[in-house]
Amino acid sequence: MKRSEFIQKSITATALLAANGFPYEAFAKGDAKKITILHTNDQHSRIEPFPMDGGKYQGLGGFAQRAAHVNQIRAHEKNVLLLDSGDIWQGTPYFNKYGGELEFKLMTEMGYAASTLGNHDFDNGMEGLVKQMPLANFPFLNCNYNFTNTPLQGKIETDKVFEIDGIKVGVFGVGIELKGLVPAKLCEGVQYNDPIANSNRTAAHLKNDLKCDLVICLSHLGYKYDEKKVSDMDLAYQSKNIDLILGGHTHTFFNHPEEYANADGEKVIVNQVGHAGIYVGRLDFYFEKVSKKKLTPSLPMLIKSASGK
Amino acid sequence: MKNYKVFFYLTLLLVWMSGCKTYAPTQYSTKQQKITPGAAVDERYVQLIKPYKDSLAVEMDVVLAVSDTILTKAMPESDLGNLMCDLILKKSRDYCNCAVDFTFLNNGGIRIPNLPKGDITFGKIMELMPFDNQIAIMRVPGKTLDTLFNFMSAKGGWQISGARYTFKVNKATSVYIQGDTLRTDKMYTIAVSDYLAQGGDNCTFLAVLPKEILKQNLRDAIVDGLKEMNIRGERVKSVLDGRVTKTE
Repeated sequence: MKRSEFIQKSITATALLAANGFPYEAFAKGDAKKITILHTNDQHSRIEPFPMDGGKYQGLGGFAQRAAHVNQIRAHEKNVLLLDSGDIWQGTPYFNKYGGELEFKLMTEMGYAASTLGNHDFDNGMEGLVKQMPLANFPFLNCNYNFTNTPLQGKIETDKVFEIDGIKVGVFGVGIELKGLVPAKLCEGVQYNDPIANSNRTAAHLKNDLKCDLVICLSHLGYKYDEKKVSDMDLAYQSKNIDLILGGHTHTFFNHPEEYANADGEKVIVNQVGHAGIYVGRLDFYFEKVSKKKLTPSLPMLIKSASGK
Repeated sequence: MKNYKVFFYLTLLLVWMSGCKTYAPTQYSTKQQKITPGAAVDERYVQLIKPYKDSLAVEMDVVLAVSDTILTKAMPESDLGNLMCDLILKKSRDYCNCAVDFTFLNNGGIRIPNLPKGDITFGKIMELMPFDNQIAIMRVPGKTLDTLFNFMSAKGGWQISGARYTFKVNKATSVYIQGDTLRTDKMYTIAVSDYLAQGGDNCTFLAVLPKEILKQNLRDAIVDGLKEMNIRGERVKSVLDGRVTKTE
């Protein structure tokens, strides 16, 4: 798709969203269910807000501030799923001194349901991850790295299904090629496999075999590239059975989630919220009981976009 | 009786239909919530962080030097990049006690957008260069450097010291090392992070060459360099001197 076309799509989507408004009628009547997805990416050990030193992001972010925000949402919404798209580590002295201990402790405290592995999560080697993983009461998901005969063997799951209020949410992770990004000795033996083929295989399993109502991909591939490198945009276009891609790596600040037509011509949503916990992304999904026949477009959403690429 | 039958089949049909029904997302709303300076704070987290913060502060709040201006990261040339590369080149020569021609830094190796005016603390330098990448000293053929300068140009103009280059899109149009034009038949000595020396950030052309890894890392060079400036009573300053230039 051409960029101008894409922007047009996004603008139309925003306008429609604003015009229709919420709360949604069926939900108000009790016929529909609501799942609130909260997400972060590239937290980069930003435990405290950026210091007040005249920097671009001064005063923004912070775990104590994010916790207050998340708690406030949890007080109003019963079905909250808090997710992260990797690069939890590296960026402040908290990581150099404590090796990621505090990041995992605070994320566990905040009730993160799952994360994926970013390239910087390998910065203390696989042993560094193995050491701190007992502090993380949430799984690290990835479908395209093979960890056989590495310290992470058996410690990384492909996906996880969350049953919330009768809705099945399938979550899986996908990671960037580590070669060239992570020093070889820190990721020795990790085999990188095709992110798109493996994402589609995992998503098909979640949607068709495990009957998930919503399939979410935690991606650390990056939003898009000028060079030939697999991105969330590529994944979105070539994907099947994925409803939502929560991205990371490129530290891209989205004004709002973007929508793409996938390989089946169905809708897939992509979002990314910059880095360092400056933003928390939020998507509230409303679910209705519909007959299977109606499901042909997997997400018959209110927000319609121009068809095709 | 007839009515009863109709009702029976209708019920059967309804049961069958409801069996076919499943939950599907039909709508969504969205919000990107910015965590701003005025945001509410969860005190429990402040207490959880406190012991880590206090113990860290002792080391991190040490002032290494004082800067008169804010220094900013940019490509092709930046005052922050120039300062870092100048310090790395100087200290690499000290550490290895050898002649080093030039050094360069990948853009991704500079981790914060700027270094503030005023006190430059150890903590700030940790943020600027959080990685513990050691300094590698390498003997590199001029032919490989030709590749390197084109590569740095294609990346948008990586930071350097000890050399100057001009580039157009992704091709270096002129390269000077220590004031002399780059010669492809000559050997040069460079100081570079072991990450790049081993082919990181797609510098694969360096991976195959022999290298000597020093025990000091790049951050040590910055920290030691700043400390020395402070001891000499110098304020931190950096200027743009046109060492990396992009032409149309």
